[in-house]
Amino acid sequence: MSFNDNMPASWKYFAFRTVNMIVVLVIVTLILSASYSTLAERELEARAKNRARQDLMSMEEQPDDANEYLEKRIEYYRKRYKLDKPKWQRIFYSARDVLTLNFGQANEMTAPGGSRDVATIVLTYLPRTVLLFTTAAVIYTALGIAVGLKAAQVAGSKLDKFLSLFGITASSLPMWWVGMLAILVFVYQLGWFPAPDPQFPQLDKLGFVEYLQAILYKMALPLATVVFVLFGGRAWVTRNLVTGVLQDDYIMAARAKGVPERKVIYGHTLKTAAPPVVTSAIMALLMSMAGAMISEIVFQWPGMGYLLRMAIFFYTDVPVILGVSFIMAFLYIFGYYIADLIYGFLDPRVEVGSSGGR
Amino acid sequence: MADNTVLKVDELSTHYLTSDGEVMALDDASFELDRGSSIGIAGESGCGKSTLAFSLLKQVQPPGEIMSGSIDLDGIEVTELSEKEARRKIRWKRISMVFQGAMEIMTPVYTVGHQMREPLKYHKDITGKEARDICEKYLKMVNLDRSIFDRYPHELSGGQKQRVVIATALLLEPDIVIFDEPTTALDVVVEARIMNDLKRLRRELDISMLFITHDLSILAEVSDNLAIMYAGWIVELGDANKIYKDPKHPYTEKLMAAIPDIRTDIDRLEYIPGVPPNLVNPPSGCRFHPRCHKAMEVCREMEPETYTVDGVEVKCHLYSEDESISKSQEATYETAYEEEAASESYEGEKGKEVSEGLEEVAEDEVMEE
Amino acid sequence: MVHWEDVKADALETLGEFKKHKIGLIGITLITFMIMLGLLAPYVAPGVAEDWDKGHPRWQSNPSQAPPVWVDWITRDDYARQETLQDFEHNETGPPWRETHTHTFTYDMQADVPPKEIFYEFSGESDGYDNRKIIIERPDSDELDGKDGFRQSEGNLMVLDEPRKGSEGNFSGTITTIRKMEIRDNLHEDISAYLNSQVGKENFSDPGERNINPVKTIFGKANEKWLSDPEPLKGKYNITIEIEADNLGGGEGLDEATVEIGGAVYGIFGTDRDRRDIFLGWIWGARFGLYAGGIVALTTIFFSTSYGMTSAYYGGWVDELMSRIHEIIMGIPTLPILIIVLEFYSRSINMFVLIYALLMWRGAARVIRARGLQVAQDTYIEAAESLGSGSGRIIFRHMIPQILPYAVAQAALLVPIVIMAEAGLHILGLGDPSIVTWGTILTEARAAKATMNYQESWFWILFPGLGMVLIGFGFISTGMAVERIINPEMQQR
Repeated sequence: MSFNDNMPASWKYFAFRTVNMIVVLVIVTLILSASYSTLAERELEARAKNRARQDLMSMEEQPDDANEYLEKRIEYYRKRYKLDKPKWQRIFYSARDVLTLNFGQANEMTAPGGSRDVATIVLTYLPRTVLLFTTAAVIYTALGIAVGLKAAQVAGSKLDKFLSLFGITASSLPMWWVGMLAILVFVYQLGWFPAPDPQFPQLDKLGFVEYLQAILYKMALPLATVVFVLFGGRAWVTRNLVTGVLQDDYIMAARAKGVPERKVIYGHTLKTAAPPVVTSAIMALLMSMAGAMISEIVFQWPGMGYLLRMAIFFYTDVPVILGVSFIMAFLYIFGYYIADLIYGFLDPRVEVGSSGGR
Repeated sequence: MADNTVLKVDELSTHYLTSDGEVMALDDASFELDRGSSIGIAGESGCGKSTLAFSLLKQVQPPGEIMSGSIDLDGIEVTELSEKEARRKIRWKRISMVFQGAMEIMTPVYTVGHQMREPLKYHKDITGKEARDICEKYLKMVNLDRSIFDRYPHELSGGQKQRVVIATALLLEPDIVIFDEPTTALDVVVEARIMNDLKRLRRELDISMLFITHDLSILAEVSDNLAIMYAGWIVELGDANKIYKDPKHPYTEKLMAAIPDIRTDIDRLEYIPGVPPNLVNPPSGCRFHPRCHKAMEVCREMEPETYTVDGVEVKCHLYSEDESISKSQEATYETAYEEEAASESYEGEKGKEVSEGLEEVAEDEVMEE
Repeated sequence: MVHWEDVKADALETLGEFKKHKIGLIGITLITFMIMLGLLAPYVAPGVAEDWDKGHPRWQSNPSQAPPVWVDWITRDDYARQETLQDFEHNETGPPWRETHTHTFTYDMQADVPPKEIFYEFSGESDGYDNRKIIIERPDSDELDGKDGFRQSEGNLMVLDEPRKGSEGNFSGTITTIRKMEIRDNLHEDISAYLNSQVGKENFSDPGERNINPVKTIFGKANEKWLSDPEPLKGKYNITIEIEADNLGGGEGLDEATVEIGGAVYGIFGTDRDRRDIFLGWIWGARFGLYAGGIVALTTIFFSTSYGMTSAYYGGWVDELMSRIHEIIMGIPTLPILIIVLEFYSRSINMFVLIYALLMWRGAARVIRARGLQVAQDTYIEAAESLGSGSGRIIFRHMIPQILPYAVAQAALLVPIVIMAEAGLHILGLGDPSIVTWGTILTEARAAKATMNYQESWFWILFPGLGMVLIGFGFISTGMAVERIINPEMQQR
């Protein structure tokens, strides 16, 4: 099969994966919407009553039959909230809205500017999660791959053995617990870092340089914690993948052919080990945007996890909950889709046109 | 060294320094290979055949190490080369290797062409169209279509892959090509075709060949000389026809008897009872004595020397000129043979195991088709 | 028919192989140890899960936030140990309708780090009581006496519990003499008053309001560091408790009394703010954690094997359909669903286990399916098929035995994930309130702002998390070792 013959097949593969990704996303959104429907119904019923009562209160002149008026207003709001429609329709509509990125209005929660727009609220919190966790993901992925590669080259050495031990240990560390220890030691005992505080420095109040300094000072400890906890596992997995390839017969064959060691490592080995390494790095980067809820709470870091927690516990704000859940699901499904495409692109063995179960 | 000799291996020992102890995979191996001739190296798996091959390339996998001896490749002392020199001077240029057919020897993410061109690029600095032309020439030589050049390894059949590997091994026209179980994992028809191709190529290209296999029936067709290995030792070395007709060493005798011969009716296949020894702690004296049907008392105590009998070198006490050795008392200790005889049920089990093993092999071969 | 001999031989061989994987061996040992602890919890620490409420009498006479006992062994300083004083001198004065009882205990303080607390326990029958006070006579005969704190008098250092009116009938109680949080203010004022009248405050460095540790001060040398960082004053302390009570029924009521010296160190892992022994709770943490992790792991083995094998064996459109469904299940975000269910339906640990059991098999299923596809291609499966074996027979007899080790390895890797998730839920306030897990302990530490005080709470934060690390290390290293043994060429993905 030459390159040209390959084209239609890879387009077919691309189209298949794309359609598949969209179908999965639609179904998962429907499932999410259905899961929250009872909760949403409860909240909306209460809200309809509240709004009706408020309307009644705000009238300059009270109507003769206040109760009848109230009933009417409640009916009006129930209709507006589509509570008169059957449940499956509501599930369908809310899923449709979310899928068309129309996240709607929050019940109670507001963005700093006072807006109740769910998209605006999410966009306030998302950048902070990206700032901490995606930065961390970039650092630990790069560091992990570099160290893992180094360890694989000196497999069996002290560095390698230490890395295995560290990798297993780090994989069993709960990140938020390490955060608590870090706060205990570095914030309160040694005083090197500022105490966790959900307040974020404001750009308009500080100069740019001060703002940047304040942000860096604030994020240093959480960032170091995330990198510390996740880097070992990444390095270890990379190391295992690369040593696995290094033991393969074709590496020995390449050496026998007189291929220079540098080319053996950075050519044959890395190219073969690349698909899983690259795809898992992409997944890590995308999934980092969903944040880590409990670590965000421990570090008082107002990101996506923090937002979801507030939406559930303090406000029971279903539009926000659904919006955040959808984004989390989307990040995963989209990440998986991208990873699949890249895997297919990097590894000629992936059978183009198949469902891609590997 | 005679002018015609291209390779002279002298008392070569390669050991693996593992955490369990020193594995003496190859001990005091000596043989010569003439230009244009071929030698077959046979023995059970784990006898040191592959270690010998990798020692010749100076590419023993760690923790393996060449401990002593010399490898004289047309005037170059291979054992003294640094890694870099070995890579530049001998690997593929002077000695190339066709790896076991059962192994995955092509990097899955590179095309066939990419991998074939590598030796040209790194040894002769030939790239681009010129390199492609050379590769296609050799692909044709092994009866492959030139379109194979652009394919990925997973798109090829087992036989095609093995032909690509052979073509790659011939690419730099080396002095010696090592064939390490070249046709294992291939079905019989493909095997026969490839062996015929090899015979033809040897005539055409005038290269020396070193065949490594556990399958003596293949060697009969392609090798001039034969070396039989057991537990890291070369136990018999000489002209292939002589050894086939009249095996001297008891181990060779048994190996020859184990070749299934379709022309004769046999009740049961010969096999050698017992298992190959652990090379960390090999048996004392002769390493074969625990499984030998002609074992003598002396075999347990003394390592045999190598004797020349009818132009064939044999490492066995039976051929000692000292009669006190060659005709010493029969073994009083139990060998695998007597153990087997001692218990019928044991024999039954053993026999079953082996025949099952053979069935498996047969089945594998069929599956490959 | 299963050849048990073979199974046994295989198992022994695997165990033998384990010896070559040192990390795996450590892992197995760790798991065994933790499982033993978990199983023995009801015997080693009976009733702890039920008694874990704040203020439960069980913990009343423990010191608050005391470091582990072994700190004493590894540091040069000598730490005061938990001690019960039972010998006392009993005196009665006053008329029968209003007697004054005094109990005098002697405590020989020889530690470099003095006790954290002093408790007094008594019981008796009375129409009522009030005016309890405690007089402590220090070895250096510092003179302090007074009501509501220190006052200078008769060569005694005296501290008072807040006066309490008793009710009629039976009475018993604990006078927690020195509860730092409760009477620190008084003590500070009183010590200040004393200092002003006696030696002049300028001779002491003043750590400021609320920073005086009263018990340390009682057992401290009266030099310039007395208030800020007292040095221990070794020697004999006489602790006298004086109780004035009405109609004590012939004076027999107060024969039983003890003073409990709250150690400067306590227990294997120390105590938390509410005096609970962290180690006892920790053992139960192992039990509940392994319970949740174990059940999820077992269901995962079952679900992932059934799913993966069916998909792999039937192949074709069945596999295609099941793969699509699997992708959808993979796409469901766990956290929001989990939180919603626990927050609005039930916080029981079984609900958590149920949700995790329903979701967690999905990752393992992918591995099993991939492995199943390989096995299904093996020649002998075809052979068995051509010999007319039914599909059920082939799956169960030929495929499952080959696949099971992979499922077990995958499930082993899940156990720590489940335990960490359960602990995390406590931080969110979604933990099962009726049990105690490592998450419970850590959440209490966080709520008490334990991270702000290293000296008094490092152990409170360290050990519960360490439990998770041990379990995690155990299962991950074992899982890895198993995977490498069953498939030496396997690449870790």
